[in-house]
Amino acid sequence: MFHYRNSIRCIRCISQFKIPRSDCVSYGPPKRVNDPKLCAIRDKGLVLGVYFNENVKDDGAILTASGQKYDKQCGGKLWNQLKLTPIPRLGEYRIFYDLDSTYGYVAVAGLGTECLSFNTIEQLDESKEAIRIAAGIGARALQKFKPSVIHVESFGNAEAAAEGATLSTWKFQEYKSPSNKEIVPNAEIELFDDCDFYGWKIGALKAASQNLARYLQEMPPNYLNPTSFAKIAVELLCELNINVEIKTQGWAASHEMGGFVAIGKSSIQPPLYVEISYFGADECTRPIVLIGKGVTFDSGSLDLKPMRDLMLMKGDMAGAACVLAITRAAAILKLPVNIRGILPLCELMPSGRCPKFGDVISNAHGKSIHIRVPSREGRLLIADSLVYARNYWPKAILDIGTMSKELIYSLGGAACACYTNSEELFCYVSTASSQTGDRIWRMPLWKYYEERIKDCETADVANTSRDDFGDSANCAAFLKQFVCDSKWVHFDTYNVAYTRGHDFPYLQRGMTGRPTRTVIEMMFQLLADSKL
Amino acid sequence: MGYTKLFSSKNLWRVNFGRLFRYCSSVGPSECNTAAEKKSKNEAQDTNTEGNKSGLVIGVYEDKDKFELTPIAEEINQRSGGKICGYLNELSCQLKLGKAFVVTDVVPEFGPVAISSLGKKDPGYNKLEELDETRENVRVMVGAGVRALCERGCARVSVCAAGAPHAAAEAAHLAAWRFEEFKSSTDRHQEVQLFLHGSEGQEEWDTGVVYGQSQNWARYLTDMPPNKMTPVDFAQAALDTLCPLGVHVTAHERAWLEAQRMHGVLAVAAGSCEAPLLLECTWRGADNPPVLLAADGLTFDCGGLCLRSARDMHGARSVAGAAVVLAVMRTLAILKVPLHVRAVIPLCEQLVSGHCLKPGDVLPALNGLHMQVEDTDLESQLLLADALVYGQAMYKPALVIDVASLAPVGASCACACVFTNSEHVCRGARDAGARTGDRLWRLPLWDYYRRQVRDDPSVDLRNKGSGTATICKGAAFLKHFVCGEWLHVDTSGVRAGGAVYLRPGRAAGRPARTIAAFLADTALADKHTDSHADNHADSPRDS
Repeated sequence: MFHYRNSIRCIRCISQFKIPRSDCVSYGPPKRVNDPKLCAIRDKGLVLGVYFNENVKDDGAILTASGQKYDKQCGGKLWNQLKLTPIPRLGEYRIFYDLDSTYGYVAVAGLGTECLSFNTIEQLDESKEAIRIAAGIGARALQKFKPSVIHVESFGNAEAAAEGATLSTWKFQEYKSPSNKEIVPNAEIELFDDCDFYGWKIGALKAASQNLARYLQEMPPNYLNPTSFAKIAVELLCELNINVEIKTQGWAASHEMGGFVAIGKSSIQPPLYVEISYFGADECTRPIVLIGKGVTFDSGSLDLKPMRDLMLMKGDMAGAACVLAITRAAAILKLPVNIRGILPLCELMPSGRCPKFGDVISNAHGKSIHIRVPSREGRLLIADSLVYARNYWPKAILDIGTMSKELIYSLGGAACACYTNSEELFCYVSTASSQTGDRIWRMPLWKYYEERIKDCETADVANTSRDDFGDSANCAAFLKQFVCDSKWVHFDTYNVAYTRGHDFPYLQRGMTGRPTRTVIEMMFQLLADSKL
Repeated sequence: MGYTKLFSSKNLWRVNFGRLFRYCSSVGPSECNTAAEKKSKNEAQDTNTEGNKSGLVIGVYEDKDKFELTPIAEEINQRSGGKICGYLNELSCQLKLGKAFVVTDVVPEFGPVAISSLGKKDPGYNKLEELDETRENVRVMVGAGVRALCERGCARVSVCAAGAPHAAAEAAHLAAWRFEEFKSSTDRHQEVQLFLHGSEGQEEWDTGVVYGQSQNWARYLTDMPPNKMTPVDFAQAALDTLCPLGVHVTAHERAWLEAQRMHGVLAVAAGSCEAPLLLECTWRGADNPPVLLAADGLTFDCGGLCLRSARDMHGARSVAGAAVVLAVMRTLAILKVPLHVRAVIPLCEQLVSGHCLKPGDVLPALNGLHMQVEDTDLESQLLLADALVYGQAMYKPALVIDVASLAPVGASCACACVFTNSEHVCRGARDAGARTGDRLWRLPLWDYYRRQVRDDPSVDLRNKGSGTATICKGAAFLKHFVCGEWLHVDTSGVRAGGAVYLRPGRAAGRPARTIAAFLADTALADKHTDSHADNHADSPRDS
C-alpha cells in the first residue's frame, strides 16, 4: 500500500508542530542550573540590538537596554568591539565571539533609528517591522553555528521579536536524509532579559502557525494529497478539541457542490470536504467562517500551466493551510470565538474526467456557472463553500486562496489583495496587517467586473471574463455572486504564496504561509467589537 | 547656450488661424462661442422644425418591472398624447441601464426620440463602488441615447438632463465623438450638434461641455497616427488650441534640452529622426504657488531595442499622458479656474536605430542620481524624471501631478491607478473621480518597491528593477525625483474604452475629467481658505 505508507511518513514528520502533552504549565523561562565553570561547551547564542540614527551628529549609535546591560556584564567589551566597524544599519548584523562565559557568540543586529513608529503611507508599524527584521537576521546568523539555544532580546516588543526569530530560523528540510551535513537543527529560541513572556508566547505561536502553513505548502504533492491533508488535520486539531468532519465526494454531490465535484473527479485522488469547528464561545455566538482553497496540486488540467508555474503548484493549498493554522492558533490561544473552517480539498489533473473548456456546472445557489477557463478552478471551490457557509449564519466570512497570477504583475510580493463588501471588516484587516507586517491591499470590488463575468451567453456567470486583464478582480466579482448578505472578505494570495527570499529578511526562500499572522491578529481585533 | 522659441499667444493666433481648423476640427470653432450665442442657436433650432434630422434623448427610471418617466419625459409624453407610455407598455422589460431604443413619430419638432434607461431612481453615492451613481446613471443614459441617435444619422440631438446637466453634457459629447480625421469626405459622418432640452441648468451644461470636449481633444491627440502627430505637430496642436485661451505655451528645442542637460529625454529621443521638444504651458488663473503637471509625451513608442510585439506596438497610444495634461489645461483655461498651473511635457519619439538607447546605458538625472536603463521599453520614467526635476526646480510647486503609463501593456480598464504620498490629495482625487465617473484606485507606494529599483551595486537607480510589479516599481522610481505633495496617475489600464459612453477600441482620454475636476476643487478650496493671503508671485520665466 504505497499511499498508506506515504501518509504515515508525513504524519510522522508533522510531529514538530504537535503540542507536547504535559500537565506542567510554565509561567516563565525554564530555570536551569547555571554554573559558569562547568560550561565547557558554550553552544548558546544571543541576539542583541543597536539603534543607529544617521541624523545625529557625533555618535548616533546606542545599544538597546538589554544590550547595555549585557555590555556592562562583559565589561564593555561588546561596545568596544562594535565601535571598531561601522555600526550595523537596519538589516545588517555583526557577530562577536567569546565576550563572556555564558554565550559563545553574540549577534548585534541593527534596528535603524529609534524614532520609528506607525507610517501612514506604508500602512505599517515600522518599529515592529524593524524589530522583526533585526531579530530574524540575528537569529538566522547564529543558526549557522548550530547552537542549542538562541536567546533573543525583546527589542522593546517581545511579540515582534519572537515572530521574527521564529520565522527566520525555520526551514523545510523534512526530506533530507538525517545524515546530511546541511541540515540545520531547529534551535530553541528563548527570550532574553525581559518579562513579557505572554507577548513572546503569542508572537512565537503566530510565527509557528505561519510555519505550519509553510510546512503544508512545502509538502511534496505526492505525499500531501487530499487524504493525507485530512489526516494531518485530524492529527493536529483533534488534540486541541477542534471537531474535524471529513466528507466525501458523494456528500458534496448530494449538497449540490457542482464545482467541487467537477474539479475533484479530475484526479484519481478522492476529493475530501473537510470542516473544522472550534467552539471557543457559547453556542449562541455566531461563528466566523474561514474558507481555504485546498487544491493540493493544481496542474491547470486542460489549460496546462507552464513548467515554471507547475513547480510551485504544490503550494496551491495555501488557503487551506492558512485556515488550518489559524484555527489551530485560535484554539491554542483559547480565543472566545466560534470558528468554522471549510477546506475543500482536491487535486486538479488533466485526465479523461477533468473539467473542459465550456462546461456548465451548477451549485446550490441556483446560478449556473460556465467554465470558460478550467484552470481557474479555485473560485469554483470557494463559490460552493460560500453557499454552504450560509448554513452557519456567520458573523463574517473570510476566504483565502491563491486565485490569479495577474497579481504578481500588479502588486508583486508586497501585499496580498483584499476584496470586501464591508468597510468595517476592512478596517480590522487593515489595522491587523499593519501590526503584523504581512500587509494587504484593498482592490476594487466593482460592478464593472461583475458585468464582465456576467457577460456570458451559455450560463448565468462565467468563471472568468473574455478579457485577459483584471482576472483577480473578476474572481472577486465572481465570488460576490455567491455571497448572500454576509460581511465577507476575500484574500487573493497568489502573489505572496512564494518568495525568492528577497521580500522579507525574515522569510527564507520558499513558501511563505502568508497571510496567517494577519488573520490571527484580526481575530484578536474582532474580539473587541461586540457589534459585528 | 540656450536657444528658445517663444510664441506669444497673440501672434500665434494670427499666424496659425488657418491651421487651427485643420488640427482641431474635432474641437471645432464652437469652443470659443459664448454661451449666449449657443442659446440663440438653440432657440433657432427649436423654431426650425426640421423634422427627421433632430433627435431627442429622454430618460426613464426603471425599477424591477416598473418604469417611471422623468419630468421632461412626462411633458413630452403628454404632448404626444401618451405615446411614450404606450411604447413602454408594449415593451417587455428589456430596457436596462445602458440600453436605449429609438422611436419615431412622437412630437412634431423631433424626429427620432431615444428612450434610455436611467436605472433606479436617485441611487446616490455608493461607498463600495466609490461612485456617485446618480450622475453616472445620467451619463450612461445620455451616452446610450446619443449613440443610438448618432447611429441613425441625427445631426442635432437634444438631451434631457434628468437633473444632472453637467454629467449629461459630458456624456453626450463623449458619446457623439468619432475619430474620422482621415476619412475621405464622402464617408465622413456629419458632426452632431448637441443641445440641452429645456433651459434649466444651461450653465452647468456649458461647463460639462467644456469637460467633455476637452477629453475629446485628448482622445483626438492620442488617436492621431504617429506620422501625423510627431513631437512638433503635437506642440503645434497645443499652441493652436491653448494660446487663444490665454495659456502661455513655450516649446523648447533640442539645443535647449542639451543646455539643460536633460539626458533622459535626449537619450530616449536619440533613436528617432524627429527632434525632441519640451513643451511648457502656463495657466495663471491665480498667483499662488503653482500646481505642476508633468506627463510623458511619446508620440510613438516601439519599445526601443527591447522591441515590442506588433500587437502591443499598434495599440501603444503612448502620448495619452501628455494629451490628458493638455486637456486639463484646456478645461481650466476655458473655465477660467483661479489656479496657477504649469505643465511640463517632454515630447519625443522612440525608435530603433544606430544610436538609440541601449539596455545597460547609464544616464545622469538632473538631480544627480544615475539611472541605469535595463529595459528600453520602460522609458517613460526617464522622461518624467527630467520633467519632474526641471519643473520643481523652476516653479517650486505646491502640488505635483504626473500622468504617465509606466507599464508597457495595460491592465484592466476599470480605472487609472494613483500613487501618492499625501492622504488628503488622494482623498480629493478619488472624490473627484467619484463625481466624474472616471474613478481612480490607489496602489501602494511602499519602500518594498523602492528597494527593488535600488538594489544594484553599481548605480543609484534601475528603470526595471528586480521585482515583477512594474507599475508600483515605476512609481517608486519616480518618487526619487519628487519632494513635497505628489500624485502619480498611471494610465496603463485606461487607454481605450471602459464605459458605455466611450467608444470601445478608441482612445479614451481618461482620466482628463477627473484631474480637471480635482484641480477645480483645489482652486475652490484655496479661495475659501486663503482669500486674504498675500501672493508671493514668482515671476514667469520665459527664457
